[in-house]
Amino acid sequence: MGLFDLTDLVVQRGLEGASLRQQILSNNLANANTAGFKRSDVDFQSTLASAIGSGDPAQAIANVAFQPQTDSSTTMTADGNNVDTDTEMSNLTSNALEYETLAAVEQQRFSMLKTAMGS
Amino acid sequence: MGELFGALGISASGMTAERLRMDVTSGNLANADSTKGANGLPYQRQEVVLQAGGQSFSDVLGNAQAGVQVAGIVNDTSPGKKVYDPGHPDADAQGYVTLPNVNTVTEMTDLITESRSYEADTQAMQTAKQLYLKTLDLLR
Amino acid sequence: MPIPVGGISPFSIGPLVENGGTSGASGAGAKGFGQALANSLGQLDATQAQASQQAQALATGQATDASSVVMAVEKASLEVQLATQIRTKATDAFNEIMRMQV
Repeated sequence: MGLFDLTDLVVQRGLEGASLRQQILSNNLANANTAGFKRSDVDFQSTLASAIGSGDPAQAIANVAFQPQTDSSTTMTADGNNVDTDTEMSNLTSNALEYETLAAVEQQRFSMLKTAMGS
Repeated sequence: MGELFGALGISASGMTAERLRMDVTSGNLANADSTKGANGLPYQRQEVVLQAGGQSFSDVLGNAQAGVQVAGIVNDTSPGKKVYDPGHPDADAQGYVTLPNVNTVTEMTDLITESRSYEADTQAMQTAKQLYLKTLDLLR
Repeated sequence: MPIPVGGISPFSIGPLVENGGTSGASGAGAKGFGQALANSLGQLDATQAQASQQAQALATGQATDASSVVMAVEKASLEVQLATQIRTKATDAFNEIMRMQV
């Protein structure tokens, strides 16, 4: 019998997804002025939701792979760059909040385990 | 957590690139009226060419998130404005002076964009650092 | 960290006090205590499930606001602490009773 259940794995994968998204959004910002650059993003939440709803959630979540997508659909400047600094900053902020909330939840769960174990 | 560390490097590359662009833009502004440079010709506007990182060498990890890098600094070869000013020391035989191809308004706008981008990269770096420290809190 | 026994109404500590007080015979009292313990553990299970559900909703982007997640997790945490305290006190009481029998 393990200490950690499916929810802990989901939260952990959520943290990994948010961490990857942080990197991708930072990259978008760094290339905000690179000619021809197209922004990317990763919808880790939908990927996780699909894994949870699949036939074998434990397997699916354990092996989940997040796919960054290049976004070629948004409007572009004359040189082909489609990064909007304000949008990226807003995404960055909401992603950071998601990460921090997940981390706080995980911390609380660890704390509960410790209490139950009598420490 | 490799991604959070990676994010720091990516934002740092952005900051470096924007700093260089700001330097070049400042140089353009400072020389907006330099009708005769060291080579005897009017000052030519310079611009920085950027490219997404990881392209000039093979990226072993196949990771497309590699920040930004400076491909080079090039001269803007578009012709400068000619004004009729026969009294000017650099006027040609017809009395025209060729001004540098620097548009002050464009340069100022660029400076604002570069400054905003620099700020955004700084904030992204701060956020990545904050998230990493939050993760360490899980150990408490 | 001691928890005041009489004063927490959202949790199932009420029945604990009532059952212990109204029955004089130790048999009936023990049954009441056992029932109260089972009740509180059952509620703990439900709260835990709710907290897990909220945590998963957060990770999949379906949590509408952070406060519901935070509250669910905090409630679960408090219930665990309460259950642990009850367990500790019950164990201590049992040990004391065992010591008293000659």
